[in-house]
Amino acid sequence: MRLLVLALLLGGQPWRAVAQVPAAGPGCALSLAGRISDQRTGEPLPGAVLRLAETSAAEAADPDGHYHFHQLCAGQYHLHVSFVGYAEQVLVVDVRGALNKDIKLRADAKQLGEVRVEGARQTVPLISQSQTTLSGPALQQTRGLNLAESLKGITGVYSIQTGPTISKPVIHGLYGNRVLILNNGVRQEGQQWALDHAPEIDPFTATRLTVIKGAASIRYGADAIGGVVLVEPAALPDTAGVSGEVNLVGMTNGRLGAGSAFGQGAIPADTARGGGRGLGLLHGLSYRVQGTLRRGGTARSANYYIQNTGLQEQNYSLALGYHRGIVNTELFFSRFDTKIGIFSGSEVGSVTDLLAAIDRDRPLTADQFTYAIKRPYQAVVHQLFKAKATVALPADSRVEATFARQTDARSEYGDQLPFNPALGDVPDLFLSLTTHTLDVAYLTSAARPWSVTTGVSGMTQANIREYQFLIPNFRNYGAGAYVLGKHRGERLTLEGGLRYDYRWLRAFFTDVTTGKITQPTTIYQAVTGTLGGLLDLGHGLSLATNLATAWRPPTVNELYSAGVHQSAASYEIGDPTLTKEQAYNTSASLLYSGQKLEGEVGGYVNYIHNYLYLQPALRYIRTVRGAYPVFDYTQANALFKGLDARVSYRPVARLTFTSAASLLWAYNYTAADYLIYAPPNRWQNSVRLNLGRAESAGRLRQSYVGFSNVFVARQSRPPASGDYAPAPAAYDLWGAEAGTILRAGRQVFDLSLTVSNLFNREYRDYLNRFRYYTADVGQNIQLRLRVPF
Amino acid sequence: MFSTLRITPKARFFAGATLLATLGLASCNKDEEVVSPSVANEAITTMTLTVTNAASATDTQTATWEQLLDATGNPVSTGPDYSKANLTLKANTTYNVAVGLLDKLQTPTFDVGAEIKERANIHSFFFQPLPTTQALVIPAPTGADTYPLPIPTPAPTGNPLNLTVMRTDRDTNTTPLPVGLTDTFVTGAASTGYLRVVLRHQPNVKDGTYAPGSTDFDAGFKVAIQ
Repeated sequence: MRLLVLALLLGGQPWRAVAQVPAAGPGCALSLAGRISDQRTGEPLPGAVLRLAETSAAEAADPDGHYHFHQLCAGQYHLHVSFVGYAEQVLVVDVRGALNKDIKLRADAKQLGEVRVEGARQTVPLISQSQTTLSGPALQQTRGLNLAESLKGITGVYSIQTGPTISKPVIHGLYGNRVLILNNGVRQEGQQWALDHAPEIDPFTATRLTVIKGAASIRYGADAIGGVVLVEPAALPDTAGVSGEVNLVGMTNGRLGAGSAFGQGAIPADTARGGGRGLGLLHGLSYRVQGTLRRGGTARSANYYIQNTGLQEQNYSLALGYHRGIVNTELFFSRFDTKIGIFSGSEVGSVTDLLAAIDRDRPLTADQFTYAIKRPYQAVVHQLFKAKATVALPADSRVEATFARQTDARSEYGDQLPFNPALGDVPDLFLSLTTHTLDVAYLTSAARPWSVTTGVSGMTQANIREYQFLIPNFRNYGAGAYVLGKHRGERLTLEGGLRYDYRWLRAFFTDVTTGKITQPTTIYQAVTGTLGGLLDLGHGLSLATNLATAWRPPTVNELYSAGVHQSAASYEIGDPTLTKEQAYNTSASLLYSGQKLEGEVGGYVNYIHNYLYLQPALRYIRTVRGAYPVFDYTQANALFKGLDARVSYRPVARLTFTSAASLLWAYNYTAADYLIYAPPNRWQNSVRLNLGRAESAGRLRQSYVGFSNVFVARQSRPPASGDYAPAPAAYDLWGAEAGTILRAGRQVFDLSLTVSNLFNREYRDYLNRFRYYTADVGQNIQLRLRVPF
Repeated sequence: MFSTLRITPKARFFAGATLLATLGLASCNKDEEVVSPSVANEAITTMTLTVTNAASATDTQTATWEQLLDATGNPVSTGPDYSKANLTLKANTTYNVAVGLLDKLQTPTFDVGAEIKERANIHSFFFQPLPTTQALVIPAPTGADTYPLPIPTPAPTGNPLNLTVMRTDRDTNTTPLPVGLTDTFVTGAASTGYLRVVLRHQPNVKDGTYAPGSTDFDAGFKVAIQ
């Protein structure tokens, strides 16, 4: 008999992966559970793999043959059930409530001995940390938004904005370099030197967006102090034929239009999946081609246009997979290309201009719509090439090697052309970052009680700058090694790990006093660890606790920046003597999944030793444009603690109430002050009504309507110094949504309508850095159409 | 059973290929060691006022205010050079004034003033004699901002500087608005004080007032009317 690599590669995780299941979201609180057994003998089939095609969520049956999917949205799902030696089954299930579905599999002699490598997907390595995945319908409702905006609805997750077009994800109050983004399994290495540098990722490439909350350096290396965002595409197809999907999004605010499509196919090596034998070496090949266009014009607040906030984005990605014998290889290339207008009213010279802008009710800029993007704007091109090989080894173990090359070119255009026409239309700032990474990991079978993941990673990175000085040129080398172990018991899963990281950084810049090129070198190293467990308390209750450390070396801007940051109206000075930042994070969450009630309550404490931040120096530097307040990069001991809670209640099958609260408290002990941009407390409520009865097959079968409300409190704990304006008032926004699935023959049209800021309320958000200059965006009606084929 | 012999060469091949690819792409590229100079594309370092007595073309003088930048594009630590930013005008006289702007960081020195003339529709100069009894066109510095040296902060009070400034040139906006590259200074009785000159950049929002847009250049001159 041959090797059983199936369960391992598909799930990568054992049974009861409570926290990994799909999508939170309004109304998405349903569950699907049952038992898988042999049709003839009735014996349970532990390790049988279940996959929901719509969400890509995968589960393996537990030792008793039980399986559970939680947090599902109402709708029709295709459940693929497979187990080596058994014929694969595809069941169509209508999830309307807590559905119990027992499945019997029929032994298939033909299948015995076949080795199949199902799409090896990136999986969450730790189950004891709080995490939420957006996929399927919940992800569909965010299509057309940028990455940070897509994640904003998750409890404990926020976004820090620079006007309507630029957002960065915030996890438990931490953002920027403290949130690591894994794009298709590769650490995203972009230009992350400021709050107006958004992640260079097209969310349309993903079918799953997962947020891991809390320190998670252990698997991904330095920087994951606040958490990790996983952007995961669907596995490449392994059955014959061509399929794909077209997504169209239209939004009234900014008259934004987005279109994204992909096509995919495979020439299976496996005759059972429709493959022939006639194409020789081509068998085992699979591919996907994907592209996105996004165009938006001037965004509008409740009462006026926010001038020059258009965007133009064109992205594409290509994936090629080849599976032969025990080797699965994957090539991936993606290009992200964006041009983002920056609100022209934010171009202030001095602090005098800034304070004058704060005093105004509305900006002095023109109140008109245009798709044209003028200075100031940013243009960013990010390219990723990835090659990955997975080799199946005896005893269900495997080796994965991933090589990636990323280039990130960022051009920032100031508010006017260079005065000298001979210079042409050049940017004020140009940065080009090239990163090569290599990761090799060895994973033992996850189907056994003991499983181990161990690996090494290496990185080299170079940055080149031109025009203005923001950060120096630099070369960065990194290396790391880790081991993660997991023991799965009857009720308790325990996991722990250790990691060592080394970072070498050399900067190259002209010394102001000597006029010569200086090249200071800094070296940082750290050991991090994690320990956690997931306990099944029975009766639908489970408890997850985790203790983790994470670290982050100072970045070049924190070490060497010196100069005016125009969009922040600040003068920032780096400190070459800064040391590494170290986080000690503990979290616990209680999960409950019952017939009518479902929810999660989690608390966390994240103590950060030598937290790097910009401290107001309380002095000013005067340039010819006026005075700028000076901020020094410095270190302090900071504490972030908070509570995330989410509860879904379903009094009757068609009605779901969801309530979620995100509370956070952030304090700087060294300066005895609160931290700036700590997200204010937030309370989200929603109700959703499914229009069709579960058992009926009428037209409204998969239609729903819903209302939501989000309340964001005033940040009552702003820092005593460092902010130019007091925290804005609390606000609450209403939203409405409706959706249906239309059918024309076999063709499905998934249509939904969402209205955000329903009553066009004027408000300013504490985490929007342009709150000094303009109100936040007003009403936005969004229409989405998904056409799978 | 599983055959290890079949895997090992493949595994070795892939690991080897990946490693080679890393080394091949990552090495022998040392572009970061070549440091590009810091260039501020929109820099203005120097303002000159060329003041000519309207009644006597030979009665002319220039005053210069200058702020140079260091290798990282920041103001040199010695601060602005205002040693030549002095005007001595005759009482009750009319002067024709030309404002010049230079970027001395470029080689050769670039005449920014000529370019501002090209972009007159989105730029505007504002002049503020200090002390003054007039309503302030240019708002006094707020926050911890200061007047440009040599003007003290807060601005002196007392006897006003008897100087009236009129901008004589016009842009080509639909309603032509003053620019300020050429001006007329009319002096009154003898007095001393300062003159603040601010260039505002007002793309799409120029309306003749000071508030819209942002400051490109802010300079101060010492003025004696005798």
